[in-house]
Amino acid sequence: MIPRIGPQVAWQIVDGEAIVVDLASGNTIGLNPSGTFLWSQIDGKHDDRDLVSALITHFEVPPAEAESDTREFLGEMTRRALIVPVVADTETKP
Amino acid sequence: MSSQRSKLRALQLAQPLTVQLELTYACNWRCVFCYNPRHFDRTRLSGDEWIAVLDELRALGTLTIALTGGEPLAHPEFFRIAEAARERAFALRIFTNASLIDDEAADRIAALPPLAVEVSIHGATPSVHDAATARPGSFDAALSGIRKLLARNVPVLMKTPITSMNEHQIDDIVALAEELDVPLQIDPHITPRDDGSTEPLQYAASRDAVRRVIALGLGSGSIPSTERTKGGANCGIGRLTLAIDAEGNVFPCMQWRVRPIGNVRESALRSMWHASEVRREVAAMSVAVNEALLAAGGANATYPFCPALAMQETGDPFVPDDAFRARAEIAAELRQ
Repeated sequence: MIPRIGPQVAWQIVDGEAIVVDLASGNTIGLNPSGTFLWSQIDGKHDDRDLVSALITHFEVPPAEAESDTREFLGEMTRRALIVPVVADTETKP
Repeated sequence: MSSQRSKLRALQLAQPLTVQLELTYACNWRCVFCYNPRHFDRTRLSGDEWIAVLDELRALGTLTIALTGGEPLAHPEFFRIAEAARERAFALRIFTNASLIDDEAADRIAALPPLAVEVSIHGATPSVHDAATARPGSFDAALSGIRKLLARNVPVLMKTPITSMNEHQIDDIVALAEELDVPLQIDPHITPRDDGSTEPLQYAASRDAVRRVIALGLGSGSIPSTERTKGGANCGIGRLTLAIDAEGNVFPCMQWRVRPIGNVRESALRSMWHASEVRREVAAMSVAVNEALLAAGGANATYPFCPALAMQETGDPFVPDDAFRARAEIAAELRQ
């Protein structure tokens, strides 16, 4: 999956940690350092495997741990609709 | 990190999380108690200039932007600026009278989407409301705008300053908000104009009306739930907030117009903010005000205090004005 930040989201970094606002509910959450790092990598171009690789490189964590953390993070953010998958343009041109 | 903890860190770092952009002084209403000294711009910032400001605010660490005025939708490039703010991931609040919101405008606002649209309503009936705005038809136009937003699931907050003109309608104003199914914030403060004129204060509500508003707990008149803490700041002036007027003047908050920090046309906002003596002075003042109110004790120590408004009304940010004292006393009485 290639994630991008959802359309109903505002965010900013405070003291190295991401503050994410869900505009639909008005709720605000703060992300931990690894969550903040992953959030900053979400650009609608890189997929989940890219995020795992980036996490391994940045935090020097074992691949299995990075994969688990990334999966958990993306799952939680998707559940909250803070990220959405990039939909590929599959329309066939005439 | 909790949002409260992040706010504290932003306060320590002087990161202006919340910014008000006064897009224009122009307004299609003429509210008799308006704090704006005029209803026209001399050298209004263009859309391009505002968008450059947005880029600077993103780098400065701002999270929430309020677009205000005058009437912000009177700026010819309002939507370009609002859309640019959302493209930069800001949370957006729009302070408007809603009367310029037709179907097309409502569609574009819903597409942003904003965190909230905060609409000023000055009475529960056309006669009372339109007497305050000096614009016949303004009540119906505002309600039409609100309904168009609600039909598109845009969160709306109804804001009503209580005045001598509408204080007999408090119950009806509450009923109107309930009928619209929107939250209501009644403001018991009428403030001086930004040029220092106290003319608007002649419309201040009676003590009984202020008491009712505070007793009802309706927003800015509600009783605070937390006490001041020693060593803390009174408010975020000079650290958590900044405001920029229609002509690019930067202030440490919307009410503090004593001296601007600078002008975005003359220097970069980021360097201006961090280097500003004015900013540092008012940030220190906020801490000193907190200490002074704690030392004084009593009602003043617990009711939310605005040194900028005190400055406007008494000429001294440390000296609470009479209206503040009255509100603090009422809140203290109600708490007992």
